[in-house]
Formats: sequence, structure tokens, C-alpha cells
Amino acid sequence: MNPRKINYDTYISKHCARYYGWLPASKEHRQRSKTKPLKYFTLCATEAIDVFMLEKEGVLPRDSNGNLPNVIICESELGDAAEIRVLVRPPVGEAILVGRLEELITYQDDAQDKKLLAKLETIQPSKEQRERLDRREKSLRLKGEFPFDIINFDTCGNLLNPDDDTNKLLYESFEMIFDLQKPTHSFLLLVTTPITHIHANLQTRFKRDFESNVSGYPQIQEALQSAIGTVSYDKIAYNKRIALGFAKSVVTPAARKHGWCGEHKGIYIYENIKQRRILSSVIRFSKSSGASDESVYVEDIIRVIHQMPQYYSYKNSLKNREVKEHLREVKEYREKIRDQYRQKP
Amino acid sequence: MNTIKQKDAGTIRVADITIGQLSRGLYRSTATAFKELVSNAYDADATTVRIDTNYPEFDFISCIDNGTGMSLEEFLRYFNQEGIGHCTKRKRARDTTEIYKRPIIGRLGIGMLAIGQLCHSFQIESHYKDEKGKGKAYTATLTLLDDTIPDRERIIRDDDVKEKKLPVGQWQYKVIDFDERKKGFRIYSSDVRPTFRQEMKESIENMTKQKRKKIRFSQSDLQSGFYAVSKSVRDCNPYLEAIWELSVLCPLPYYGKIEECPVNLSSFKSRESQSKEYEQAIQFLKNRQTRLLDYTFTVVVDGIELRRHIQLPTEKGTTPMLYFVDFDEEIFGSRLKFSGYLFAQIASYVKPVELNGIQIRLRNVGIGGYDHTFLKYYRHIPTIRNRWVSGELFVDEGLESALNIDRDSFNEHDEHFKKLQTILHDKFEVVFNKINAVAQSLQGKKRDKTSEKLERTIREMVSRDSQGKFKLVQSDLGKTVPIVTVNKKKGEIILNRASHPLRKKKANLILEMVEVAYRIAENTAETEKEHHEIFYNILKETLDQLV
Repeated sequence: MNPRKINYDTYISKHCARYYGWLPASKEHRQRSKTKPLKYFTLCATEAIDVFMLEKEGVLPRDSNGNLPNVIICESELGDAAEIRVLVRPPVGEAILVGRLEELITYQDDAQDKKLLAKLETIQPSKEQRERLDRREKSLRLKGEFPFDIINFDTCGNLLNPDDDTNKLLYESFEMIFDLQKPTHSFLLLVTTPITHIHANLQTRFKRDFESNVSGYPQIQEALQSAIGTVSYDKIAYNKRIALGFAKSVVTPAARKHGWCGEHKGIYIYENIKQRRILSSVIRFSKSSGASDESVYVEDIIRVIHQMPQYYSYKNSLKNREVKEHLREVKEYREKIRDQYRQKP
Repeated sequence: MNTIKQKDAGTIRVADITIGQLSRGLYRSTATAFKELVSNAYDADATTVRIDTNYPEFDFISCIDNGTGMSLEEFLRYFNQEGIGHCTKRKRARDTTEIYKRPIIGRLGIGMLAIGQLCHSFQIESHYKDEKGKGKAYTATLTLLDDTIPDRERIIRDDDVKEKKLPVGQWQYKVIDFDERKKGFRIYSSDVRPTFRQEMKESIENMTKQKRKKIRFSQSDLQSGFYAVSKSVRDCNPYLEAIWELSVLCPLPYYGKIEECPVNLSSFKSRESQSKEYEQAIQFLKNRQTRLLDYTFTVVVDGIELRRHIQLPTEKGTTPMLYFVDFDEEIFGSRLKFSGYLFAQIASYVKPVELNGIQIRLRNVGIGGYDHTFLKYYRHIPTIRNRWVSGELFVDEGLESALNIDRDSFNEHDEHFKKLQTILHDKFEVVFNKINAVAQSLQGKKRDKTSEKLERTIREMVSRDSQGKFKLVQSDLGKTVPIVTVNKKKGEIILNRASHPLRKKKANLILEMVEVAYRIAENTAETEKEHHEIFYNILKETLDQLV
């Protein structure tokens, strides 16, 4: 049966994360960058709510040809890719990258690839070879687009369950992003992952890291006491535990490894129609400055303890008029843009 | 033991490998391959078909229509039972589509293979309603041209290849949930042929970045762009050329207002342009445009809605002429019905050159582009005036038996084709004779005008530059006397009308002009140097005025 399809046009709880998290942080990032147009990477669905929201709110400028030249879209499903191109893109807009993000980012030439490339003029590549060559080319194209100002890492996969090969690759690609972003000084990361089916090892690591934080940083211990009234991992609410664990054990190590220092702007947990929970973190990264990193890190964890996550259940979010109205406006704006650039003879 | 009989008879059959080769590419160009996909959507009563090439990377092709889709039963009959080429579109004597009553284009059921020309493998998705109105859907992956499929040459040459039945690809399908929003038929491929990609990509890369940015691809920009080419649509680039070709071939309305397309009525004001056939042709074109609009069919390529970009006359200041062709008769037991128009612009080439010739449209679909030979009438065309002519012939019934499998050319020995060719050649004879007559008359008038102008220039030169010393007279002084003489006593510059040293009248007049200038200078100057100066100045001033 068709695994699809979530209708993002009516997915209010997700829009809560966009509206309260992605949008203000993107606007702030836009202001910081002053006149320079922002470069945005997204794995938007066919509805492309994020793209039209950021465009409507003045974060992403459309050029005189009706194109969004600084928006790079990646989509692995052929059917969705076709819809995105046909419906979201203006006439003769920019190409989208059709492929799996994790495969494109982690692609590396191996010995066989080198051999194949050397004799490409003389042989007819097989289907597998063609696929690999295609992946190689798209990987180079994608890597050539780095660095971005905003990366929306909102995949279908699960970053917290690396047992599965695809998810393992996904985590690798998540980590590689920090390496590929090196040519810039700062960027905004919007990272989304389901928090159901968290791998047991990771759960253990979350707990271990939490305890080392508590024992290693009195400020964190104090913050936990004042915000939650406990320093015991098991007594903390599930959402809070996962938010802290994701920040401390997933995002921070990957970023630090490549010299980035993160500042959480928000962590949002929302529920989908099947009552599965999804976490979306909004983090601004800047280049690591050495000695002061530690205090920035502690401050960041304290901020997470005090303010995060925000939770939006599927049912309750349907009653949120403000968010519903905003989503309606974004959809309306999208249709207006489509009409405007739809060619009429 | 020799098993060959002394005498036998049987049925002639075509080897599977020959049929199988169809999947390796049948179509002349990118546009003709896309045309087949468009035709399938048209036959499925789609109102919109959207083709996307992932411009400017061209690494992903999709074709999405909102027609009736292809049922799974049909898919299985096509791929699992009967094989490619099993078409049921015209079963039960159906000739038009159910909803929009469009004349059905497909006959053989090989149109889907057209995508094989552009990619190695592809995916289809069909969302349709069954006979009880229940929504159903499936998706299938098809690999057409793989390394596992033996090459035809190998099959022919190698003894060890025993299998003569050619597997042209593999398929697999799975049933999915019906989605009302996706009703119709979809084809996607990210396994695009490098040759297609390379050609398209290079054509875009060759454009300067600035030029690429400037291209807006709006209908009006495309229209003006196609007519701004110096000669041919090829001057654009292969990408735009494919768009142009596809727009001309598809069963689409013309670009522009209904009362003007594809001819600009305001250009037909001169006496030469008016005729009884002109009225008939205009009425025919209006009806045809209305009918095409009624079919409610839209083709969108990379966001551009296509229309037939035909705008006649293609050049300003020409004398346009319009003729009407109409035929409806039984030929060898089956009806042949066609009508159309022939257009000529005197005296200028039709531009872009791709519009020059005659385009045969079978059930509104262009076959093979404009034929510059006028169905091999070229032997009878005495001049280059055929390049002034463009026409379309709409075949509404018959001729289908003449259509070759690529749907891009005709079997020239088919009876219907022969008849059509004869009728058209007769018409061409009338039209080209008329064109010649009008062109000659216009040329004569033009010549007279030039002569008048030169004569006036000479008169003006004498009165302006001889300072009142001379007047101009014409006389017949005989062939031995020079073309220009001077009678100083009478103060006359005499043009000898009996002398024609050069063959053409215009040349003689120019010679007269130079000679008169020389004589004026000679008779007004006091020194040799002054003579040269005056002569040079008179000529300079006169030529300035003339040119």
C-alpha cells in the first residue's frame, strides 16, 4: 500500500513548530545577514509550506523571473519530485536534486568508480553503474551548493535509531553537514526527527551524558533543580529527557567535532495524526572560539532546561487559531504565487 | 535429412526481435518523442499534460496528465499478455474520445515507448476509476534499455544466441492507494539518457549567464523570440527548438486571438491579397481554432503552456495571399477528407524556415514537421518563391494507413497519400502560378517606381547644379550618338532616348545620371581641378539624396 501521504496543508501541529520555531529564528538570521540574500536548503514536501512561509515573510526573496535562486530542494521520491517541480517551481525554475539526501551527502568515489570513470567513453554503463554515476554527479552538485544560511534537515528517516542502514547513513550525513558548512561563519539548522523507536544504546547514552552533565557542571545541576525540581534522569518527563538528550548527545558532539558551537533557539515536539511524536530543534551555529565554548555550551543546556521543549499535541493544535490562520495565509500566498507565474497564452 | 518441401505456402511474419527494436528508439527528435506522450494524454481525455525536464539539469523527466489513466488490467494486457503494440483505444468502432469527443490519435499502442528514447528506465503511476466508478491505483517500474537486453547486431551475428524472442525490458508493479488528486497517468524517470541530457544542458550552458537570466519564457516572449531569429529556430538552442517543435506538432490551438490566428487579418488589405478563397480559408481557420479550443487540452512544458506559434505573415511589408484547400471523397473504398490553407508572402522568405512548406496534420497532430519539398513538388517550382509559402493541411479522415510506425512520415505509395499528393500538386500549380504573376506584377511596379525616381533625380540635379545654365530635354538622336550630349548655345542637356548602352533600364538611367553630372561639372567649371571637384560634389549630393 502507498506509504504516503501526510497532508501538510492540514498538519497544524507541525505548523506550530514552523510558526513558533522556524520562522522567528529564520527572520532573526535574515536580519543578522543584513543585505545578503539567504541560501536555504530544504527537503520540502510537495506542499512546500516552509518555502512559501519563508518567502511570504520576506526571508527568501523571489527574483524578477519568478525564481527562488537561493533555494535548493532535494527530493528522493520521483512522484513527489515531479509534483514539486510542476507545482511549486515557477516556469523554468531551477532544477531540484532528485535523490536521497543521505546518499548524496555521504557519497565517496571508490576504486571501482575511478575505474568506471576512466573507461566511461568506451563502455555502456549498466543500470547499477548509471545509478552510481548519477549519484556521484548529484553529490558533487549538492556539495558544490554548500554552505547554506539555513538548513532544514527534515527527513523521513529517524536520526535516533541508527540500527537501520538508512538511518545510519542519515546520521552520517547529518554529521557531514557540519563539515560541509565550514566555509561559513554561522548558520541556522532546523533538524527534525521522530522520537518514537529511539535505539536502546542511544537511550543509555542520553542518560549517561545527562548524569555526566549533572556531575560536571554545578550550574546545570542548579538549573535542573530550579526548573524541574530533580536531577534524576528517570524522574524527568519523557519529552524533556529526549530534548536534552538530543541537544547534548546528538547535536552537540556532531557540531563540536567540526568546530561549531550551537545556540538552541527552540525545541518543539509535536504529534502527528498517528500520535507519533516528532522533535524539531532550531539551533544557530557559529564558529567555535576555543576557550569560551564551554561556557556557551553550559548556557545553552541551561536554556534548554528552562525553556524547552514546547509540546503540541495533534488534537490541541487544531484549536490553535493563530497557527491555523497563519497556515491558511501561507497556502493562500502559495496559490497566489502559482497563479502569478502560471503561464497563460 | 532434407526437410524442405518441393512446394509450400504460408503466412509472412515479422520476427520478434524486429518488433523489439522499437523500444530502442523510434522517434526522430526529442519533440516527437514527447509528442507521443502528449497524444496518449489527449486520447485519455486529459485536460492538462505537464512535462517537466528539471531544467536546467535535465536529469529528471516527468509527464503528468489528469486523464482517465490506464487500468491495471490494461497495463497487464499490454505488458504481460498481448505485448507492446496492443491498443484498445479504437475498439468497438470508437473514433472519438468519450468526454471531449476528440478524434483518437493512437492506433498501435506504442506511444508509451517514446519515453524509452529519452531514458533507460522509468516509473509509471496510474490513478483511475474502474467500470463501477471505484478509484484504483498502481505504480510500476519499467526498465527498457538495459545491458541485459542483447544487442540486435549480436542476435543477428552470434550463433550462440538462441533466443530470438527479444525481451525489451522488465516490469514490475504494485497496487497503491487511489488518490483523487493524482487521477490520471504519470511517467517519471531519473535514469535519463546522457545524450539527451548533454544536448539540452550544453544548449543552456552555451547561453551567457546574463542571457539565461533574461529569458522569461512567457508566451509572448517565446512568440517574439521565435520570430526574431535570423533564419531558423535552430538559431535559438536545442531546448527552445524542442519546445517550438512540440508546440507546432501537438493538437493545440494557435497562439493569439481567435480572429487573428494564425494569420494577421490586417495584413490582407491590398487588392492582390483579396480573393474568394481568402474568405474561405479565414472561415476555416476560425472554425478550426474554435474546435481546438473546445477540446480543452493544455500542454505545459517546464511551466510554459504551449500554443502553436504560427504567425503569418512572418514579415512586415510583404503582400500576403491565402488559399483554401478542401477535399472529401471515397478513395479505394475509404473516405479521405482534408482541408487546409496555403499562405504566401510576397516577396519574403517565411521565417523561421521551419514554417516553410506544407504541414500535414492527421487528427490535428503534426506529422513530420513542415515539408519544404511540398510533397515532392519541388521539381515543378521554377524559382525560389516556394520559400515564401507555408500551409497546413488537416486530414480528418483517411490517410492513417499511410502513416509509418514512427508517426512522423508517410508511406508515399499508399493510395490515400498518392491522392492527397495529386490534389495538393494541382493546387500548388494554381497557387504558384498566381504567386508568380503577382510577384512579377509587383516587381514591374517596383521597377517603374525606381525608374521614375531616377529620372526625377536627374531633373532635380540639372536644375539645382547647373546654376540655371541648362535645361534638360529628351530627344531621339540615334544609336550612334552618346547617351548624353550638350548644346551649349541652346543651354540644353540632351538625353538621347535612342541610346541604350547597357542591358537594363535602371543601369542606363544610372549611367545617364553620372554622365549628366559630368557634363554639368564640365560646363560650369573653369579649371580641370574645379571640374573634378564639382563632379564629385554633384554625385555625392545626388547619391545621398537617392539612397
